[in-house]
Amino acid sequence: MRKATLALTLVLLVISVASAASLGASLTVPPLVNTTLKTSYTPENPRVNQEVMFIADYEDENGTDIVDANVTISVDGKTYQMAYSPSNSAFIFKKKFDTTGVYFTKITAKKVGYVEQIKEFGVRISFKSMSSGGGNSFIVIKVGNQSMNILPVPPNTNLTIGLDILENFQKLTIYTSQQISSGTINIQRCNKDYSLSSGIVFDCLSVDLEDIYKEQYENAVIHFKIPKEWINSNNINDSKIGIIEISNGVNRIIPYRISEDEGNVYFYFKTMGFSEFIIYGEKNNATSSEPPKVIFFPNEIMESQQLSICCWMLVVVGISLFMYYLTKEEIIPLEEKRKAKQKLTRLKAKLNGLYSKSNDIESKLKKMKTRKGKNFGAKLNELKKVHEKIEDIKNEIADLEQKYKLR
Amino acid sequence: MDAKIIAAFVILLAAGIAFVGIAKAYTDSDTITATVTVPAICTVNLSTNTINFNSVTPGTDTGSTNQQVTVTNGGNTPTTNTTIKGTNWDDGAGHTMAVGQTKWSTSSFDYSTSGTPLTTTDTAIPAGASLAAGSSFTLYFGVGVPNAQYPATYTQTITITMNC
Repeated sequence: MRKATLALTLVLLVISVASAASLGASLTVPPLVNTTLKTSYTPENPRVNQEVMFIADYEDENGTDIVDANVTISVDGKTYQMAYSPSNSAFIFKKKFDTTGVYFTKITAKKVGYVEQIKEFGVRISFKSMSSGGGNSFIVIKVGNQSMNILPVPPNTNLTIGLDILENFQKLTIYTSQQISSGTINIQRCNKDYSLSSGIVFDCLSVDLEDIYKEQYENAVIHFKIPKEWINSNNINDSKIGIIEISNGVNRIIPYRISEDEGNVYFYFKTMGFSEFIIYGEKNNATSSEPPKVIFFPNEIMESQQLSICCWMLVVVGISLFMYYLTKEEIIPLEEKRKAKQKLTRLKAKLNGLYSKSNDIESKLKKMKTRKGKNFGAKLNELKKVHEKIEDIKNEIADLEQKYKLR
Repeated sequence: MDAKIIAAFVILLAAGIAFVGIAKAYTDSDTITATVTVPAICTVNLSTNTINFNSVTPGTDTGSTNQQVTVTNGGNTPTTNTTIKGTNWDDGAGHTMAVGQTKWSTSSFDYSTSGTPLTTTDTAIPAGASLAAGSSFTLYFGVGVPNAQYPATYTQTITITMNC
């Protein structure tokens, strides 16, 4: 009799299972309310030290004033909050200007849920009323997309051009040494993207004078500001902000640091001439005291590349024409030459045949016992004809070789 | 008679001993191992599968108003970790909004000052690590809409994953 015992062992296997669930989120973005912004200033032709009142009327699509909007004005290098005036039914800001010139101004109106509006315009500040005279001459001042004419500026006068519509630039002040009666002052952001051997380009200003000469002004001062956000995000040492002036050569200008506020650091620099001014900053860990070199002028490179491409195209076209000329001269002869070569080959084969025939005849003649008789004479004539043919073919070969340079 | 009884008893005893001896000689044993797989499962249970931020004006956010979802481990074992990720907001007509416009937290929060921006890759939720079976935590969501966002209705899918 057999007795069996069963021992059962349980092995627990644990399997890890990941589980995921999705959650659907939704939101509706409503359309912004349409708005309009009307701007003006009074008096119409303000003079130096006269109070100018700027007016901004920000309305919704129903023509209702948006009284709780955020309306700011950037003028004469600074940004101010405009306050809503119930009596004027508009936002108001008042300011006096102490120098003559054109102040390009920007008013921004915005409110959450409403379309933001920006208006740019120039305010002309004169010594005297425009309507009181000035003749036909005037100075044209262009900044960004804006343009304005001003009356002639007398000598030893500060002519200020407000640059608030160029964002980082505040104003340009030209100190005149002679009267400037006409001409054009064109101030824009540079249209080239400069790059430097060291340092980081912040911005670039281009000042171009037409029909205004060096003798007419003594110097100029340009005010600008750099956002602290740019300085911090690029790890810039704000005591190492520099200007590179590109005129007749490249000059380095160290700007003066005026002040700072919550958002910006303010600088100015003096220049004796006008051209392009690259504002750059050096990083905190920069060790070189040498001014950076301008190493990259994309537009100029583009121009030089275009010029180079143009030159190369001319060269290629020239070579092509030359080759065509040569080829044209050679096309017909080449075909003839090919045929001449074939003919030459045939003639040489024929010549070899004649030489063999001549040798045969000569050997037969030598074998003849007598050099007289009918047979001898016939063979001799045959030999003469063969020699004549040989001479003819040799001449023909020589002609061919000479004509087609086949030798 | 007594002698017969005693003799019979002795015989029976001897036979019994012999039987036990034989029986013992034939005793055998063997072992069978049986494997039983018991899956350890952690299951994500959400209190809701949809959240709606309703209308959010461009240039604004949901502030301190959060949408809430309770996340429960509906399995039988604790989690090792729990992660969250999402997709970009999409209106289905080519207009999108970055996934990071959605912020989340495991406590109520103000959008402008706190909250973790949602990303398209898994981010661990601290409260979802070693979450016991049957335990839960709450996720709070907020959203901000950029100023120039095209007006439309946008949707986003948020995925919560439990690993165990």
